[in-house]
Amino acid sequence: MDQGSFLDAIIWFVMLTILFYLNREIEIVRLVNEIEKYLRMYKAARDKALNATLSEFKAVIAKHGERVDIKKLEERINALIEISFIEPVSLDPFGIVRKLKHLLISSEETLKEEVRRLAPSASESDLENLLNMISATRLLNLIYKIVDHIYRIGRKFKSIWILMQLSAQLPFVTEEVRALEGAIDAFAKGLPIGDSVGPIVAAKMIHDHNALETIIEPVENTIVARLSLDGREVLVIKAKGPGGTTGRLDDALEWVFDYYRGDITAIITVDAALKLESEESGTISEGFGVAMGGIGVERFNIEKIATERGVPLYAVLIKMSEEEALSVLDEKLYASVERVIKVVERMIRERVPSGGRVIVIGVGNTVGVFP
Amino acid sequence: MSEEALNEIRRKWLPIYMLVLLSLIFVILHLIINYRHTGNAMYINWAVPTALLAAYIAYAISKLLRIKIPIYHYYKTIKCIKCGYEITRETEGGEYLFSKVGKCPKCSGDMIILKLYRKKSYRRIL
Repeated sequence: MDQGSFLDAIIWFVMLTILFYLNREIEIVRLVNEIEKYLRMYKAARDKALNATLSEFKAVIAKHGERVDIKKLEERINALIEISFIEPVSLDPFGIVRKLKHLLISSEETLKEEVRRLAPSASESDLENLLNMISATRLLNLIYKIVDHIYRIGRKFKSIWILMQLSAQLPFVTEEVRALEGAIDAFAKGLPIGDSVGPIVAAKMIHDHNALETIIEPVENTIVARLSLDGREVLVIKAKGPGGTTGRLDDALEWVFDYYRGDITAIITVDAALKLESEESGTISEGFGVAMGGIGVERFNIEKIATERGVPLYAVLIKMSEEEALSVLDEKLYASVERVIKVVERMIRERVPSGGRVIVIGVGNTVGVFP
Repeated sequence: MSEEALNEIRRKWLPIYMLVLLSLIFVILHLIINYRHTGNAMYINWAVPTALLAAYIAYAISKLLRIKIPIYHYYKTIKCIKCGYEITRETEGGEYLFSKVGKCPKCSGDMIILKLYRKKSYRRIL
């Protein structure tokens, strides 16, 4: 049998090498196309959010018959979505939570003043909703720019590994983008979002027990109501609605502890939690600890207060996807509100003795929820 | 949402896909007829990859036709706190939960917004 010449073997090896090289090049082209498709989507989401925010500003300003310099407004909003939040140095972690809280409060107040200057006649709830829209647009802009940056680096250096890693992350990033798009829609309409289930539970308890008259606002944007349940005193804490705010729940809790001189039997937190893909939306899960998302400043403070006073922490979680958490609520999640109230009331009856005092905190954004 | 906006853009490619598919079908038919008349294997050799390409285009069209664009409708459920009478209407937003929205047509009790929610329905791309 003819084994072929040495030249044939060389040609065969060369062809094989070219084939491997081409395979890699084709894979890069495929990845680039896929990432570009996602990037187009993120850019469209960012632009749409920016337009919606601008339109909402114009609508709020026009509602009160004021005149607006469109060019100046656009310039200012474009600058606001580029704002950076620089985390405090954590080389020496002692006191980092206080530093973070200071940064959060001061940045929130400054941004609020900035928005108030742009729309001077806007109501408090309009201001909160506009702030939330800016925040969501800012995040969409950040996501687009970061993904675009990694993509450009990967393409520049023809690195299949960078592109592959980016491609693997894109489904999770897309989930977040979809969630933020839902948030823009919800805040523009001022309707409750998935994350509002905690405040809805708290507000419904206040309404069901006719405790509206007991409401006080000891801390900015946070209310405390008092009601009675089978001989137990229940103090309900939630952010003040109907504007899109999460309130200062830790400060309100501290105020309650000071006011009642620490005579509290238990703390129950109710919040939305991210579900796993296999879980049903609206599933209720009971637990221990503080049910609260975010950077962790408020959670840290609540844990600190409870630990110092030896008060048990109970949690009730309502499972939902990230998109559901930031989009307008659907009917299925409303059904879980009634069930959560039953769970909270059962917890109070079983874990708090008659004559005891318990705190229920409705954690989350209170957009579209009164009070 | 942005994904839906991109699907709308993709929809505009549908006539071009259809045109390419029709052209490919004509080419395949032409190659088969030529093969039958001449018996030259070269025609059938070209017909096979052309048929594969046509199948790929047909698959792309079917994928495009299967796309459904979600449409959201927003509703409010109002309930009378006295007699429990409930009605559900569409809302444009700007309303909030547990706020009073007038009197009950049945018992003149206060009516409050009990639910504010959205429903998803789908629209086909064509």
